[in-house]
Amino acid sequence: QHSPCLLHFSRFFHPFTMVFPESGTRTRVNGATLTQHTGCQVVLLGEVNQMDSSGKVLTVKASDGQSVQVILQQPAQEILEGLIEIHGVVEGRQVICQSYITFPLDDARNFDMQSYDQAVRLIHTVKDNPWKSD
Amino acid sequence: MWNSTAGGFDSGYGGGNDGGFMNSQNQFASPGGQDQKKARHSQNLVPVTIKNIIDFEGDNLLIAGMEVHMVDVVGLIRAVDITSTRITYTIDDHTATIEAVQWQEPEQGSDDPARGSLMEMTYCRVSGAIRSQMGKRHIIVFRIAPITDINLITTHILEVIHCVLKLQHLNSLGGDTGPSHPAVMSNSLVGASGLDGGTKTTNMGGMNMQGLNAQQRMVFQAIYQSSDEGGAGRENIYSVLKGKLSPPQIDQALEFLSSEGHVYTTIDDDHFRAIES
Repeated sequence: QHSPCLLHFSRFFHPFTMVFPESGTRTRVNGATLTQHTGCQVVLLGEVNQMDSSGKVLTVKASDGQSVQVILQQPAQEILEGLIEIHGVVEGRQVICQSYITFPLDDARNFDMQSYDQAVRLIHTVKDNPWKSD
Repeated sequence: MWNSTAGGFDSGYGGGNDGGFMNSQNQFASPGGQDQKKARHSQNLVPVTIKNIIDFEGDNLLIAGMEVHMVDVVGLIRAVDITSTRITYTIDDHTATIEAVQWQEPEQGSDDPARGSLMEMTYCRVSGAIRSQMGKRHIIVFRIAPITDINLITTHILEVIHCVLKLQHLNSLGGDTGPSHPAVMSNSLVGASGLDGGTKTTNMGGMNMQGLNAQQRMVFQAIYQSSDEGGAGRENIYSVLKGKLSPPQIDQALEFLSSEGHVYTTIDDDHFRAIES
């Protein structure tokens, strides 16, 4: 049950005060695969369910429908809604966000969340595929 | 779901076929004659991850044993650097990051090189060629466009996975004379059947497949099929035969092949060429 990434990050892990490198090796996850990646860098594409009044805590519905809490390092400067892609580190059932992008409503309008979720599942099941590094 | 349109995925992945997917004419001017020769060799446009490009060792990117020079990546633009001669995008597809250089045509009356450049923190699709300069790899951009349909992110994830699996599948179909026959691409020049060198011989100048066991044959074919100018590198042979033979097995076969005179070393002890008839 020990996530492989935990060993790598444990030396540096210090919640809320860390500065992560902007880019790196991240794995796309949904709600189900999130918990297998504690301490790992992930990409979570989903829909914003709600944002709390501080602007720092988001509830995101992952591509498989599961709810994930996302902690922003700075309060959001705008109202976040619709399709969002979070880049961050998993801590339990939360993602500590390093960066995120939102998508224009027009581009996200026809987005097929189910197909995307299938792609995420394939990333985690197809052996030796280039999207997942062990 | 998605269907393959211009990708032409069903028309085959063979490196030498005219039906190879997304064949393109070699229209770009490359800096060196050597690069042009290599580009004409493999005219496939292959969907890959940036990690594939950054990580490969040796002279060429190999996807399931096939040489890849032109690539298709989808990623997030992290930075845009604009000069009067070129725009350099830093692209991150979450497997790794790479710079993609788009050379600018000097346009008459155009005073703003930033016009038409894509924006940071948006997804884009880049088609281009892999280049190495001063030890660092980057992509020369043929085409870069913003992703306006987010489904294309899904499509690209799937295309990359599909490409690898399809090529591996084609590889495994290559042999038709049983398990001892080495797996080769359908456009292979060498088949183990039909090569009859007569009795076992150590003569140079004959492509004698008899007297070789299956492992030695596989290694010989990997060397024979390599188009590397300096000879097939040991690491390249490891990666081409990954999953079929282990490095110690390959080393052993290389020892045998070179001592018997079927292959010879070229630029160093780790590069080989096959003796052809």
